[in-house]
Amino acid sequence: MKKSRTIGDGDGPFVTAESAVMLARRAPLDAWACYLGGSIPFVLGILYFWSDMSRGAYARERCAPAALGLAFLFICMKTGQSMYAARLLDMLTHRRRPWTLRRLRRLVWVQSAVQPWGLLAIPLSMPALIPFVYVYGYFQNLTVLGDGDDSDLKSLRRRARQLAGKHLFSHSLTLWLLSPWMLGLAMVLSFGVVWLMMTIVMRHAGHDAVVVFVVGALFFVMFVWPLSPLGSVLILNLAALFVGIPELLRIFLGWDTVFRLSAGYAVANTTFLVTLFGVAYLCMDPLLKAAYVIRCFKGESLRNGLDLKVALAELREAREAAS
Amino acid sequence: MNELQKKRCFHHPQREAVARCPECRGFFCRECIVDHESRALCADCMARLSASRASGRGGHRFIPPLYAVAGLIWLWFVFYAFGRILLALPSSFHEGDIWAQPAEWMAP
Repeated sequence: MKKSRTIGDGDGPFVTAESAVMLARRAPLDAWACYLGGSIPFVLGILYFWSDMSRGAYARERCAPAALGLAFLFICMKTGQSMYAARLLDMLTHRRRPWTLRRLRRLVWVQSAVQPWGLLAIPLSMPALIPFVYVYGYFQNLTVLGDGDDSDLKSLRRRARQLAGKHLFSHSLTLWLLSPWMLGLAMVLSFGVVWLMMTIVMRHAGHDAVVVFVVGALFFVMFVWPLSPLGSVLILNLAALFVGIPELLRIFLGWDTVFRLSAGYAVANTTFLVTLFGVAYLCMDPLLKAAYVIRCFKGESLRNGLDLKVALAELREAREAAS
Repeated sequence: MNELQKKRCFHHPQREAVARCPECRGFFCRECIVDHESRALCADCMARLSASRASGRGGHRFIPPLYAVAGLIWLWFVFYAFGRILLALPSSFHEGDIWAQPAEWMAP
């Protein structure tokens, strides 16, 4: 007999991704304001830091204060992301928890206490894929659960750990589809591998543009695309947009920018690649957060029956509206 | 399971027991049991646990801020180390010149 499917069985990764997109699309403006208000300053800060450290004349003296500034921006980003996740969770549960000063303070303490360690744990867990999924999920769950309602770190960590271990296969595929970290890994790997292979190709075939392009495209398909399919498509679109804008400016307005004059070399510049990744992160991460909100909601519902309470409340509202 | 079916509630002997409290090991009916963090606890144990947690929280009031400060210092270190790595990389790497010419060790 075929086993009936329940919420607890865990939805497939494509269903979760689709639900995440729907949830993010329905998110109110204040949720987006929280997310973008926290994340855009950090992405701009990283871009400034990267370009300053890569070519600033006095970068060595500025490194320590700039790093401290980035640390504060990181905390702001995590705070904004947690507030965004809390708002999405409120949407799912049809309630509106007020933002009191006390709750906000608890949220900042919890996020600053746990999220910085993700920068150590996630890269360390990357070489082994399964712990990476578990560790990554753990920190994403903490973003959702550490929304200031519960300040008990021990209980938060236990709940996040339990949820990270649920439906590991579906969890891995969701991560593969939506995670900006997978895109980052693909970009770093491809940068090293493609550089090495292109060096060999250039040595044997010279600077033949067609050969270089074909080999580059081949390695993109072999190394980058399988690691992060959605991210790769997004990166290609963004790259085409960024390269195309200076050309369009010249054609329609007659403006010649430094990006157009530098021809293809601007594309190989590391700041360009980091900019691409930063924008891709801002596009993918809200969807990933929405996916974890859904995962946490379903996982917690198994324990406290919240989904049933929400369904009953919806029925009650529908009956009252009909009568 | 068979053992549970034969047991009666500690507070209501006329009722069948449905769960066993993992703290006090007593048997209880549906009304006397509470779900707390994925564990079915009896009301007495739940009250005791809540009281001990509440008293414990007062003593650990400064722990989350301490963790937060430790996290901030760790972040500062991570970004500082990241900045030093970026400074140590040659400018040909940042400017993309490495794509235009073979690496030195590859040159004949």
